[in-house]
Amino acid sequence: MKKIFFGFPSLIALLSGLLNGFFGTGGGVALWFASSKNGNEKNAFATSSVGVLILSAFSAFLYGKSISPFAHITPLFILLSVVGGAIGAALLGRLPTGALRLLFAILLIGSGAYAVWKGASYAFAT
Amino acid sequence: MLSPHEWAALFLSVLAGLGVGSGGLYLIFLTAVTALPREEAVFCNLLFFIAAVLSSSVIHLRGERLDLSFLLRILLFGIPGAWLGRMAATLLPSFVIQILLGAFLLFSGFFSLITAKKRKDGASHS
Repeated sequence: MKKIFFGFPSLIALLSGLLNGFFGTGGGVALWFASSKNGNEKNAFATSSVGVLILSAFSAFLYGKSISPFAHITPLFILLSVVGGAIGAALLGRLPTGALRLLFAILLIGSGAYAVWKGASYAFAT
Repeated sequence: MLSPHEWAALFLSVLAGLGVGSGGLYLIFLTAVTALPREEAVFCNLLFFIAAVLSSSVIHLRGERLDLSFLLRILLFGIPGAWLGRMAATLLPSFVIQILLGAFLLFSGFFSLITAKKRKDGASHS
């Protein structure tokens, strides 16, 4: 019982939840890292995927409570997300992982820089 | 004909399905291109992510086993963490959260680049 409540994996679970609830995204990589360090590297991806789904579902519930339904959430939007995810899963192993990770890193850096710039522009304008 | 946000959802869900994550890219897209209010953009992003990862997980997780003790930690610590994160987000102006998200994405991007380089260097030396 003591092992459940203390330790690095619990701290990472808390931090991942904080990130997910605060930003509305994120936490998956931290969960994967903690799960693999927990001695289950083989199943870390599966565990972290389910874990981030749980956190995202709860965060969606928290955010969804305070907004009214709007036009962007359509069946087509959900269908495209499901189809895209399935296409990605089917392509895994067929595309060079290194190039994908590089592309992803570049997208993260670009979008991160844009978000900082946009937020700072708003701050200086007001 | 698909709208820009539907095209973005399709493309980014493929990335999510590949296991490299969507990293909040769709959230940045929504706030930048569609100018959705942050709360609605976050809700939309979370639903998109759940749909994309759920479909890819069905394919990825066939035959995988889950680390139940770590998932229990996520329930015990991650869920309250998500609630705390959500509460903290209501206390800050949107542009501050946008700057913080941008900084988080920048950090994630550079971290991905560094780990990808280390992995490549490790592979070339072996």
